[in-house]
Amino acid sequence: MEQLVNTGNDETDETLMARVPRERDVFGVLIERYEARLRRYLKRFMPGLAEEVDDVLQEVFIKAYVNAHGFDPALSFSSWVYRIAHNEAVTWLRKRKARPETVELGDDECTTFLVSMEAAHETTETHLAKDAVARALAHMSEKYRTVLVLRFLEEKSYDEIGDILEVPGGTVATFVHRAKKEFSRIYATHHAR
Amino acid sequence: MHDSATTVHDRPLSERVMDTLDERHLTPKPRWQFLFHTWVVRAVAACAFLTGSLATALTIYIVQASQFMELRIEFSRLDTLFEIVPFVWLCLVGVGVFYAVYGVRHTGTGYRYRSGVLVVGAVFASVAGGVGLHASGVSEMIDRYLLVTVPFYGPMAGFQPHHWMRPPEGIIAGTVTTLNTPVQQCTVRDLKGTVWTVHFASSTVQGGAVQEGVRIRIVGTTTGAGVFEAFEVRPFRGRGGVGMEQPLDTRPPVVMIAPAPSLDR
Repeated sequence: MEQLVNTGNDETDETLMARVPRERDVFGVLIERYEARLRRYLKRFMPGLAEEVDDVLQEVFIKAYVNAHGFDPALSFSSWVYRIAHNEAVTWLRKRKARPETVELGDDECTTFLVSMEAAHETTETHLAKDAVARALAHMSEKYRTVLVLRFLEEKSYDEIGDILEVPGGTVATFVHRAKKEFSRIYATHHAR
Repeated sequence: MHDSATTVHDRPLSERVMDTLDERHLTPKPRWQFLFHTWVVRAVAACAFLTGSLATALTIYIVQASQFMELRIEFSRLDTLFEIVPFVWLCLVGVGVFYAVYGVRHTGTGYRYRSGVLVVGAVFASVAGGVGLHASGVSEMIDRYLLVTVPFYGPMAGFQPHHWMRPPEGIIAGTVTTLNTPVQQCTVRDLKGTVWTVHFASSTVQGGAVQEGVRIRIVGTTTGAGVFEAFEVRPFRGRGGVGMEQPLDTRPPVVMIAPAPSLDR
């Protein structure tokens, strides 16, 4: 693939995206760059639906390709493709009326997340808290779960989250604040069990 | 289904996406579709801005032309306020602001602005545009045109000339029909067509108002049947005023035409 596509690793996503309508194979490079990140993100949205995550991911890239001319250079490609992924995941979940039971989380991520939520002091055994965190996230409202996942697990800035969810950066800050409160409340309930 | 899916998913995602694009014969949507959408949204925002500006200009003109402050002082009635406020234009200002915000929000990165900022910006833009249009005389032109041509426009847009037709309260308005300068007296045909003899020897006359054919407002008192003693005479500008000298209840005479005799015989 890389032999056919005239691109080096130094080319930005945005530059590559500008070439996509004329050179379809360039899109393969972007898929390779974003596949793992988006798969991880989608898994957190659609836990227990692993097979569907793959189909959704494929649809995300197809939509990105079909709408290549609609890519706004004022955005980063990352925010744009995350937005497509987010919207696609929401649509799939709503179609199936599925609600996640738990959210995929690594041990390190769990620790970082708890520190971010200022909830680490509540437990000295993070590995025991992991299930509670995952279940608490799964039981949060979609809006607030999205914000926490993007902010503390995907490590996106407020502006990037704003671009993904199409809301002002200031509103993201408000959402994060409220999401933390909601998480603390639900986490306390689940951790107590 | 599951087995085949597993087999398919063994291949790299990029290959699968490319194959799917081929199978479905998918190509990027043409650029013009996105440009069209962008321009439609921008056109909505521009139309909304124009609507908001025009409505603001009409509101400014109507409130100014209604001599709102004088009415408030002289009548001190809340219902008067509700009668003269041009709600139809104020509603249109709201509609303009709403669609301007909608348009900006759906254009490119418009979602980055907070709703409050967009609303304040749209209101500010409408007021700025409205002041400009009002200064250029567009608002007066449109208002006069609508008052003459659209029968239900007047009451909807705060056109209440009867506020200036309250002889018992010492206020009348009308057109000077004859003028007798030596004795400081004139005749005035009021907005309903009634003719008054007005003495203005002891009155303040503003802006050289008492001239034949000019529409004026008079503050004073009735001293007899059809006789008015003026304390103050002001030119009647704006709605129902100068330039609209026909009595409001003047209608073309209705001519009854008898049916023609039959020639069938």
